[in-house]
Amino acid sequence: MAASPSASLATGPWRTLWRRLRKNRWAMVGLWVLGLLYLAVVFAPFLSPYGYTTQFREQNWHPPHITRLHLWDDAGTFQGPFVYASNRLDEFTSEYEEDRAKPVEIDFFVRGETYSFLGIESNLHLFGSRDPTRPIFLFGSDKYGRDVFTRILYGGRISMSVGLLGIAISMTIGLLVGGIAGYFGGRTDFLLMRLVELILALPGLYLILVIRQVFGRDVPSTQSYLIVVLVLAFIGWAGNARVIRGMVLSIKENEYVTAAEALGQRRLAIIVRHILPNTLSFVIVTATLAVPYYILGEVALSFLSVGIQEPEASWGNMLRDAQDVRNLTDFPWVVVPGFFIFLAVMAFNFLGDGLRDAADPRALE
Amino acid sequence: MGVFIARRLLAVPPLLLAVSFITFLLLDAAPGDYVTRLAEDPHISAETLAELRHRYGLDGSLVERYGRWLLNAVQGDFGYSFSKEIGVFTLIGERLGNTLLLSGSALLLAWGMALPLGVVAGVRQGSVLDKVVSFISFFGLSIPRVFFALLMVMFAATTKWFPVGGMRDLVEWDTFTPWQKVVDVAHHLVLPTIVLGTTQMAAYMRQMRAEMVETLGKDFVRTARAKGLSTRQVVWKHAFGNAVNPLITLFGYSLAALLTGSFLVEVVFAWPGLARLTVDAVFSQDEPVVMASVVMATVMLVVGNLIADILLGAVDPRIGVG
Amino acid sequence: MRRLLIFLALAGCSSSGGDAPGGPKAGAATKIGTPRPGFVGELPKGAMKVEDGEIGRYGGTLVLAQPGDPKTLNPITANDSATNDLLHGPVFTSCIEFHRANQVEEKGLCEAWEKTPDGLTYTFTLREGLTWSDGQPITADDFEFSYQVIIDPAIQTATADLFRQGVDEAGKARFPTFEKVDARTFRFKLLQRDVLFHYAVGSIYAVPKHKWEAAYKAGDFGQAMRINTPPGDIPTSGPFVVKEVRSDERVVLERNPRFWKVDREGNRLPYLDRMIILVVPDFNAAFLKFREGETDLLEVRPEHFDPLRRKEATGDYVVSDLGPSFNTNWLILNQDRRLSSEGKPYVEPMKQKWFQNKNFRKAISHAIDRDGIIRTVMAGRGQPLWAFTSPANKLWYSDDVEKYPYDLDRARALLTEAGYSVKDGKLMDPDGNHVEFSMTTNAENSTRIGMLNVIKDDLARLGVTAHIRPVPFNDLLTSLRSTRDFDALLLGWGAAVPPDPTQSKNVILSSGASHAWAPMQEAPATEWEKRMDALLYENAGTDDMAQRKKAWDELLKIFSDEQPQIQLVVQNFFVAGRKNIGNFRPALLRPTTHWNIEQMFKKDAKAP
Repeated sequence: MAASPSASLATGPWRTLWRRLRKNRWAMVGLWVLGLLYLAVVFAPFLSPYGYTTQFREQNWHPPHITRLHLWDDAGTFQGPFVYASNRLDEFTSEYEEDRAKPVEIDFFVRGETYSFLGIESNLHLFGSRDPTRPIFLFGSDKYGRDVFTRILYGGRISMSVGLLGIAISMTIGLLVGGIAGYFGGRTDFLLMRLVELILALPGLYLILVIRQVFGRDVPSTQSYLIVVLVLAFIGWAGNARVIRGMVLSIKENEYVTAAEALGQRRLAIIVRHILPNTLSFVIVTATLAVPYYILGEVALSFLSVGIQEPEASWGNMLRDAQDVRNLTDFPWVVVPGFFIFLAVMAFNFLGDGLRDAADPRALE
Repeated sequence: MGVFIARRLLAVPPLLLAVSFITFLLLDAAPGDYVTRLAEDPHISAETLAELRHRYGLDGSLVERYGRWLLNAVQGDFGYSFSKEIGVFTLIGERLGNTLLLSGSALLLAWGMALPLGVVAGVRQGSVLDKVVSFISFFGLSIPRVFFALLMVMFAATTKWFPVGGMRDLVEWDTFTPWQKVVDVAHHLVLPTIVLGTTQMAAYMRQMRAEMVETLGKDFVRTARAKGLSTRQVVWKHAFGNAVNPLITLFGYSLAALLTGSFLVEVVFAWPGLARLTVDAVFSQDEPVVMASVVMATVMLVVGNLIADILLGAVDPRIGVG
Repeated sequence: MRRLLIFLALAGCSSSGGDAPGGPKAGAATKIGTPRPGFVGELPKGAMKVEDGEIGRYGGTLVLAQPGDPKTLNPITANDSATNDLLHGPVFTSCIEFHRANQVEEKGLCEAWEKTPDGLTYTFTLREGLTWSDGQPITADDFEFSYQVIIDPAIQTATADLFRQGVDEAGKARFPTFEKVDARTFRFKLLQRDVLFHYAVGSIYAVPKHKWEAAYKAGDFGQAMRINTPPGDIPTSGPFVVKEVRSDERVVLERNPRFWKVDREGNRLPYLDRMIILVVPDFNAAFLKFREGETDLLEVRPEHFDPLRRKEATGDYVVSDLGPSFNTNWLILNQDRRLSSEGKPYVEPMKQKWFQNKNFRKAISHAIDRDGIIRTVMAGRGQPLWAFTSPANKLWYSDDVEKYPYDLDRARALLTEAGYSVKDGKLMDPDGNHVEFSMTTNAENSTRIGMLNVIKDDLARLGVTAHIRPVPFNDLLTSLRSTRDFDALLLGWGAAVPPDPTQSKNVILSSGASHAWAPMQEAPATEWEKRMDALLYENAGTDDMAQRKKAWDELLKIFSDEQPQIQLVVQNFFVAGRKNIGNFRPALLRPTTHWNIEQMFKKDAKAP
């Protein structure tokens, strides 16, 4: 997207927007939550105690430690954070019993599995258990004995970026198509709008299913991630294009556009430099409100088993474990990813709502 | 208006042509075909498979097959489901009613709740009710529908207050009186309707509230108040009529989503609607069924959008249609 | 037998609404309720007496849930398990049946069959007085018609391939000839011996000629007996007739009033008035329906065993553990030596070297933590599998095979012996290439994906980089059958009925299409494959059970030693049933919970 061209845009309106936004408590809560979530997923390798595919098969379906963290031992002496070791009740049923005689200390800044982060190889983790055979599962473990906390962090990398990437793609297409159609009008407009109608008339979910069938699942996980994003963006851009076209239609009547034309600027340059920037507040608001569509889209695709594939983690495919009633009753921590999806989507909605109010010129100060 | 509708209707056939061709193209591009999966049986021979392919009309080039399909479709013949050997329309017809029942009642719930709650929240800004309404709408917007549906199934299974899926009690059904049948279906409808309705309601409610807030700030409302009309009269007689206009378009669009909107909820609640039929058909590459579902959903979308535009034209004469 | 006949005549008279006939001994008639709808017409003279099981009582509806919709009501063209389970047994019966629980052959519509010593002529005799549910007699003509349909190249059924006996000069499939002897007797003339031929005949689920010949002649047989055919229009030979099919909702079956079996006291079967099959989207929904008390029977997935067992004491059901199931899971390494149509090898030569190396295959097998698989993807309910045959197979299982317990040291030793080495944690082959390959399975099956998840992790411990490649089922089959574009592949075999070694011809013979690691070889590529071919021919070429068993045992041993197909695990099989179901005798072979549906009854069926 083109950089904002006029100096006034960078100061006045934006400062107002920010001032208004700051007054909106819920929008700020949303902003903070999102900030923390993004930080957490970016630093996932450091924050998580294990690798996201590391299996502790002997301890699968282990209940969450987060509710079983202790600081004082039974005698009341301060020990620092620790949990009690737990033993499987039998080989088969995944039931565990705390062994009160065996505390497992939790250490900070421990050396563990090696990961590479921003090109740096490291094995430093924020925390970990002192006894490597007694892993710590803050949010419990899944059926392979993988740490759910770790997978939530890594899965968030996918779930939280699907939205950003998707909206970037669909907004770019929407801006270009909408801008061109609105500005040029005539036959171009007619053809582009028919294309938009065609996309809007496609029954989205059916189409997604069929497209996923085409691109098979015979692709490396990174590609399958891209396909998910592209498919969602492909359906998503048309609506934006239509609205932007409408906005462009009115913006192009403005004097500064006529002035630019008189100065003989290239028409594409006019669209990109003078017209589209004026749709920016719409774009930001829409983008913020549309991110949840991609996050939820990934969940829906995963539900129909055409999303991100094992052993990769995403919140959507982790939530698949909750499809089994047995897991839901016996291992209720399978809903944890659902909670994170809810949190992220809610935060985006709060923020988007706040942005919309703040950007609304009619809104009262 | 007549010209507008005629023009929009004229645009439908090319649209359907394009949508159906794209779908056909995609189906063709998917690896294998309906017959491939029969090869799972180690007994079945290559000749058998080739023969079946011929019988289902899966041999021949893409254009040839699309041409064949189109020719029949234009004459109203959408072919037979490969897997069930039944005419596609017979198959879809059974499901269509069920899907409409579910999405229709969800639509009723969503709008029936959204309008009054949105108005009241708008009128009494900042009140407890307003906060509750905001919460419900944010909740509805933010919870993944599938997840909500799963939780509801869980709820039904734990409390046993509601059936865990399906559309009727299939064991006792034959012994029911007509009245009991109605009650039974309604009982099965409750949870999927709540899931679908709540998640749809959120957007409408927020919109209604916002419009109401805006309208109440307008001059004519102030005038009405100044004339000494009661709040109730001001709200319902003057403000509401104005505030609801933009939502009418939204209503049109919600009609457009009647066939496809309930997709995931149908799957989770084992509702015998179009969704399961279509998902199965896509996965088993039962081409005629997929094609017919897509065409039908497209028609519904187009018609819904058309209705939205017409309604908009009808309520707001300033917007010239055409 | 004679006494039975007298009583049968009585039964015919009283069938229209009156009490059902009591026991055969005069005056000792047991009251067992009233069937609704009642039986019609006389009991066939040749009615079959079911000797085992309890005496039940009439009435009641049995409800079960099944994932998947029946696709057709035509027992001949049916080709998926949901449809087969519905039609084969409950609705249509065949000449020879297989007792699922005892795993032995049983008489069906035929009271006798015999074959000539050369094994080329089989003669079958139908029971006397059998009728379709519409009252028309069941005759040799019906079998002639049905056989004609089955082998008709224009119809194309999977059953046809059971009868196929090679091809003629023109490349057309050859089939045994059918000869009608009289109304109750027919004969097959074979072109070559086939020890299981009588079971092929047992897989003919005949349909009435009088009803469907016209449709067949008009070329519409495929469209006859569809799920929206008016159900009253479908005469059946099984214990039930179809009353209603509502796609994705339910199938209702009702007693066939002319069914031809009686219990040992001579009461006509079936006991149940109706049977309802609820169509559910998946096993999870089936489990819920059972837990809610809506259904009477359930095939229990391993993950649902614990929740059911926990409540068993207070519930109104019993859960039984039938031990390991017939379904084996295995991993193959592609050893295909052929060239594709473009002249390129199917498998890269480098990988061929690995996969054709016996030590390599054995090392992989030792590196797989089968207990780990069981604990994670099978909820702890399974057993490691070593032999080609599942232990579920009473007759053909052998424990005397090579076993591959989880042992990384052993695996490493085997690899070192073959010249492999580990560098920077990566396994290198003797030529210095890193061992890295993909493992394919179908994306729809989460159990299989789960197994690969574990195996991937296990192989990494050897320094092998293995990628999981989930593909749609169609792709998987295409890969397996024609394009052969895979390195390793994980799949499973189910059991045929009867579970006889000859049924795995396609898998074991080096020329077989399902000899998955290297199919359709013109001549066996290795000595051990050659030996396995010979052993299977020996097994299939004689009726002498001892000789057959000996050959098969040796074959199993070679198979396990060579590890062409790395056997992984078998799931334990559980079923649950309500306590009020009588004669509930679940078995490992399909339809597992209700294969003896005609005998099953509701203990609390309402008294008249």
